[in-house]
Amino acid sequence: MKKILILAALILALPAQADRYTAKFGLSQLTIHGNSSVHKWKVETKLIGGFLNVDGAALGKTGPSGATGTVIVPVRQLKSGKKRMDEVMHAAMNEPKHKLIKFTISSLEVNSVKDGVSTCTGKGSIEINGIKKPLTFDVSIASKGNQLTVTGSTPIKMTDFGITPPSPKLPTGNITTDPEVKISFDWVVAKK
Amino acid sequence: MSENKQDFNRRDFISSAGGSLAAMAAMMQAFEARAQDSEGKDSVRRTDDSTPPVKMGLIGYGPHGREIARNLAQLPSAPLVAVADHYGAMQRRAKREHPKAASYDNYQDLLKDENVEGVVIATAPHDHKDIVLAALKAGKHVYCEAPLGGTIADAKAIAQAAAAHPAQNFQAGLQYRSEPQRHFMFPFMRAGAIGKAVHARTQWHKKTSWRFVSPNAEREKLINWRLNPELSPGLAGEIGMHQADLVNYFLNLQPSSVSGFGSTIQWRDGRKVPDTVNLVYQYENGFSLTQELTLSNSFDGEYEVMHGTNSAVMLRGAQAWMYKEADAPLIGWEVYARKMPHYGRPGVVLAAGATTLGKDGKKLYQESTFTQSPLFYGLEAFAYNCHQVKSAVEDFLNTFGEADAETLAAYLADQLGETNSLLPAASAADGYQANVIALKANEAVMTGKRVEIKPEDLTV
Repeated sequence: MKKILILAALILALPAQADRYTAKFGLSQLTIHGNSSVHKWKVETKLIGGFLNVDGAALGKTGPSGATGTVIVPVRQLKSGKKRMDEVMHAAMNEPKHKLIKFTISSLEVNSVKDGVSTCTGKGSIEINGIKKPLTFDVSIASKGNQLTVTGSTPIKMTDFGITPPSPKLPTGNITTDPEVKISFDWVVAKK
Repeated sequence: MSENKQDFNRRDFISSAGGSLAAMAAMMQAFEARAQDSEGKDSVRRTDDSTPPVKMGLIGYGPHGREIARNLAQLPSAPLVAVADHYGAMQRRAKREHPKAASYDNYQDLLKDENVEGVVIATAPHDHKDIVLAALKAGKHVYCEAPLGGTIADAKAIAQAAAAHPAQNFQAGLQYRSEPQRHFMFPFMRAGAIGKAVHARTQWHKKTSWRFVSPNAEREKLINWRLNPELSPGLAGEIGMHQADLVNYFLNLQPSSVSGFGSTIQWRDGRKVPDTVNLVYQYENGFSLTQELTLSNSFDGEYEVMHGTNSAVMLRGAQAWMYKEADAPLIGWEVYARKMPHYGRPGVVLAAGATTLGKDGKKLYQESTFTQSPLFYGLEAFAYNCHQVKSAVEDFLNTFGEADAETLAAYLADQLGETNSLLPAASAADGYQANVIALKANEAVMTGKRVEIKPEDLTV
């Protein structure tokens, strides 16, 4: 009897089993918004891969969720709708050498839960152009069936990642690009 | 008042409030795009030396195959790595002219060559189907010369096979669709700048026999498939198809019937395929297209002209002109555009690159910078688009794993099509539609009867 009680206590003391949610194609979207001397610009992609390990129940209450994960975005699939601008941007991001933007989620704290949407603060890192920087970010996570939609945005500075803001030449003069950009995303992951 | 009543001035522009804003916006966007696209490029190309290469195999080394090889040699993005031709003399010639390319005496062996990523098929149309299907099965990207097939059934089989392999780029050889001058005109025409489309006329005049000679009688029979009524799509299919497709594409129309007649006047060598053909296409909305095609006289060469209620637009080679009606509303930009006498009247020059801005903001009038042949631009688009499709598919598979053809097709349409990531090129469905229309036109010529073209005939 004593052994059974000890075993039960041990089981209860173990953290809940995290589920693995993997990226689902079709509903995700990542957009980078920027500004330049001629106009605002944006590039976007629906190709967002990766996974999120999290206990679904932990997202329903405040506190540390124990979530970890990785998000990957192929740089060459970021598109503006203008072929030449895509070429300039991919070259600036050193795409042939560093093919992915990579977010790593090392912790995720649930701040509040309302109507099935968890508002969270995450910690981790972001790697662009082969340069990794620590990152703290705010996201909301909506749960529906076996699917989670992670929505958020974060500002970054291109120069922090060794990227020289593109300055393409036009017959009327050079364009200057603001180094500050904002990355916003809807990342959809699902349990298999 | 100037003698040139069509030569509008600034006062005319200011006094008119009836210009087509849509057409103006389309034209200005096109000018802007041209200015941006021209940055840092070889001015005759839309790609540059940094464009990742896609290794090409060429199937068929006849006169057109050799023309393709010559164009590929000018494209660093499309290195020729293999050539196949079943005729020994052509195979030896290919080896001599392209010593770095692997040489094969049959296309099946070329398709087994893992170094080949894309194939350009330059055989006779009646041979296309088997080669295209095998090439797609072998995982190659495919550029198939137009007409896609010698029969409607062959063309349909090709278009359906292309649709079933979305991870491979397929391009129909309707080269005008890729040619920058004509592509530059596209938004302008679609915006309705000519007013209501009334009529179009195309002409192709050349003095040439279409007959090839060979010391080998069997070979001579094979290479003269254009003169064999059982195999030849005639002038309507070999030539007229490209011009008719351009008109239909620009005006977003499809004909409902075609009538035609042909005769053999110059080349009375026993051939049963006419050397001179006239065609009239009718459309449900009252529009019509006439085509004159001859191998008997070269005067005035080739061109396309589209007439609308406001203006006529003529395309000839790498240039285009607009001739406005006196009562047409001003669009706006034409006030500043260059005018050039042509056909006895000053036409507004519509040349890609014609209004490129100088450093001081002054317009630098120039001829179109895109001086290569439509074939060159078709092949350039093929190589570039192969790379785009290849990289998009690779990234998809690395991100999400395997996917069915439908999912991949939807993804590529969104990721590449919706983002203007591809150079303009004719799809398999475009090739199929043009093929059907051309074969119906040839049927009209050969039977002397009016042939209907139903909407369902044009559906892959």
